[in-house]
Amino acid sequence: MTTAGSTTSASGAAPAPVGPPSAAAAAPPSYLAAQRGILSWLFTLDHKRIGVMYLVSVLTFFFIGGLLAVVLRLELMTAKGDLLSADVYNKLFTLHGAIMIFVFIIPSIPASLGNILLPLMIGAKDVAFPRLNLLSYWIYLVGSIFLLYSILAGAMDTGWTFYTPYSTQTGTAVISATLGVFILGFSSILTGLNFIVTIHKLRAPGLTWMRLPLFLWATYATAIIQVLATPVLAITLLLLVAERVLGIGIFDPAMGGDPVLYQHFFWFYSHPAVYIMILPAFGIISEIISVHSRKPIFGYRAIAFSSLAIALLSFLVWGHHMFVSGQSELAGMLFSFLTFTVAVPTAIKVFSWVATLYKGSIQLTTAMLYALVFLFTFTIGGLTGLFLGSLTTDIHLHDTYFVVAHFHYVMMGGTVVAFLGGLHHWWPKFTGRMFSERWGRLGAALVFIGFNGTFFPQFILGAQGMPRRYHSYNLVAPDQLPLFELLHRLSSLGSHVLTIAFLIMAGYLLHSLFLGQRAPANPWGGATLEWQTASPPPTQNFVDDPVCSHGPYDFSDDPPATSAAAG
Amino acid sequence: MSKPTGDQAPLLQQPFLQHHFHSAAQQEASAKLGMWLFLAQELVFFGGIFLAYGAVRYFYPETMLSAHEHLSVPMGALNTAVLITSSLTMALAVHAAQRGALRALRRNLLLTVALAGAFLVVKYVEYAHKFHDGLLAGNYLTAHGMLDDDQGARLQQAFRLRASPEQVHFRFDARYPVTREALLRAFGAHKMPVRAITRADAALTVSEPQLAHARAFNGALDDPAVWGSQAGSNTFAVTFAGKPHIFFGLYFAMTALHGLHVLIGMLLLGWVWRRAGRGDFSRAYFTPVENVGLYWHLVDLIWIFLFPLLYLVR
Ligand SMILES: [Cu+2]
Repeated sequence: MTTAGSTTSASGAAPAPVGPPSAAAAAPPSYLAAQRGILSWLFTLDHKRIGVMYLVSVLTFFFIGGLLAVVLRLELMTAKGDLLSADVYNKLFTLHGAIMIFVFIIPSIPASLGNILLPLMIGAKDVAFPRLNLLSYWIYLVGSIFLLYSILAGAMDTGWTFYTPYSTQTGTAVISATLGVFILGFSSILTGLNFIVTIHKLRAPGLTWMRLPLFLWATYATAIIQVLATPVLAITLLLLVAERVLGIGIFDPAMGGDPVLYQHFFWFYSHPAVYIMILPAFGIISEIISVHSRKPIFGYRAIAFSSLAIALLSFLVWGHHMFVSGQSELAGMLFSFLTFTVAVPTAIKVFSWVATLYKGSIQLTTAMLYALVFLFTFTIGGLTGLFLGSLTTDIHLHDTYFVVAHFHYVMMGGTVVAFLGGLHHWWPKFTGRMFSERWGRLGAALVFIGFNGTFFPQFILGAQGMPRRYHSYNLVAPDQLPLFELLHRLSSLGSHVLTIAFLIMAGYLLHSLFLGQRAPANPWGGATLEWQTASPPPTQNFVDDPVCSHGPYDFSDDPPATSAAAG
Repeated sequence: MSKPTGDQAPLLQQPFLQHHFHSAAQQEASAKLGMWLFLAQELVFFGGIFLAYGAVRYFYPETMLSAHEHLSVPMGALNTAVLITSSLTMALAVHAAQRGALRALRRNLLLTVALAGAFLVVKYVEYAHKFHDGLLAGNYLTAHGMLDDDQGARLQQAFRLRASPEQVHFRFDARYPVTREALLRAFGAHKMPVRAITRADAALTVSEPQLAHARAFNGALDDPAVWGSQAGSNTFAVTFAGKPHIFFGLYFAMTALHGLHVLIGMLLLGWVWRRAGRGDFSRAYFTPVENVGLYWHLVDLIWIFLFPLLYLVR
């Protein structure tokens, strides 16, 4: 893609491709340098600054949630519950889940990377509704504060799913936590709404739907789910609060209600929600693999439409969480079948990525390493989902560590790894600095080792019958105790490797902020529009309004523009 | 802020155009699409609670039928008429904006706000009635107002006199047994020791009109198992079949959520009214009027569904 300034063409210049805007004219200050002071951030309408605030927030929550996970893993190193009491353990895993799901992973890619990249990638100055964008960040903050307040108020011990009737009876801080999640939902809805309108209405001239970067197709599909599924979570949580406060009895069997109805409500949102979490990750992988193997993506349309297909199917499979909850056998069979159909568009993506790599000129950059890690771990995560989607095997595996392992292979091995890949891929664009590739590759390798070390043993644990959410396991299966203890220790060991990997990452990324080399406009030779402006971009994103003249993965006439670094 | 104009004429005449849009048409199309998406998520939101209603109606059709009789159809019908009229005034307001008739615009906006206020007043009267009767959600359903003051006093008397010591010890004040659990909770709240609650505990004497009221409230009162051999006499057992506490829980949840939307609508209408007075709108730009109009029609539409589902159960 090129930026052909429409104003320059008015002055008689030929509409020749202009690389990054000529540095001769006084380059406008970058969005980071445009204003100073904390208020210039908190009240900014600039999508990039809002995205950076989201990024800092989600990384903070990732740190807190990760810390909780490390403590949980420490407890499980021994079979007896000797580090934490059972109550504290219940609260910690609930908080780990709630924080990771609602304030880290759901907003992680769309609200942080998506916010910064979406207008850049379509050649717009901002999202369609900048004030709504800022509002959604504030709402996110308020929701997070509610969630954090519930920790001070004694935390909750229901698990992140808030299943009734326990959640209406436990004496823990369920109301502040559910209200927090309720509020966070609005933030998610507003972000999704903003993104859909932006993609529909603000694309640069020449940027047709079939030239849309695949990251945006994924973001678009995600936004549809955000807008159409999150309201169901909102009403579910309101009913839950009403149940707890007023005892309206709709979910409480003692009062004539039906707890399975709650599960239907909850998973009608929360299954699509896992696609809110994973679809943007797919988008990142498409970008990284194509750019870092310098090969047009294989099956552009297939990848783009499979995102939409997944978004659609995601609304039809929620019942696979309730195979053993007493739903009818017929429903179980239908949900099982529909769950299997999700594998089709997902596999289309994986095959397309692998086919893109085939005969590409693969550069093993940090971002590419994360993409390769993703292909490995996500495929394992996806395939083990089929075990859980089958009625018969699920009865054995339900509520065991197999589920925990599957979920983390998809969410951490999938979303988090892709998020890290995207963070490294666009880090020079966001910050204007290059990080150390050597340390970056080391970090990626340690993430790979630590992640598989943590979660692979959990597949075996689950298959052998280790239940999830247990704080001690010396009485679970005495004859298997040595095996359980060994596998748990391996898993905990893996979590320590992961901790080290994240510390290294924090180290070199922070280092790069202050001492890193200045980044050129297009360090990886990407062909999408965000690489055609300075790193970091000016507040208005582009000096001249960009015009898109070719597809997002057309590397033919765009040699890596490393020389023309602006700034 | 200087605006990149593309191939268009300078946009000096369009102070409403935000810097990141190229043209007024683009800005308007974006705002409209945003509003439609917002309405879509509103529909899903209310769809959720309608689904809950459907499930409860499927579980307890007899509850829906008997409990709904305590809603006032005339009041509901009045409110339906009020809201439909407000939709008309809203449509007239948008039409006035299209013609650039600012006075008519403001007048119709005010009318719409007034009708919305009227809706809330009627709703308030209905709510007050429900509170007076104790026809409330969940644990708070006492139904004590089904008795007039005199009967209420006699009811309390009856309980004090007739409840034998090995049954229950309590003063019947405003707590009306719904389920055994709710009863236990209620008595617990009154610090009354409860030994056992059987159907006989609540036997009491009431007048004939009161009986009719009770029958209407609870179809199952005709069940001989409840009435025993005394069917047709002046004694009835205060035992509900069905789950009226769920019905009133849903009634309040649904109407309160809708009422909140009406309230927000009034604020939005007031905001548009002020902007109209400030001269923000012209024939070239009145998107906020249209969008608030869309929102208002949705709020009306939801009531059009709420009214028959809650008030006109067959
Ligand atoms: Cu699911």
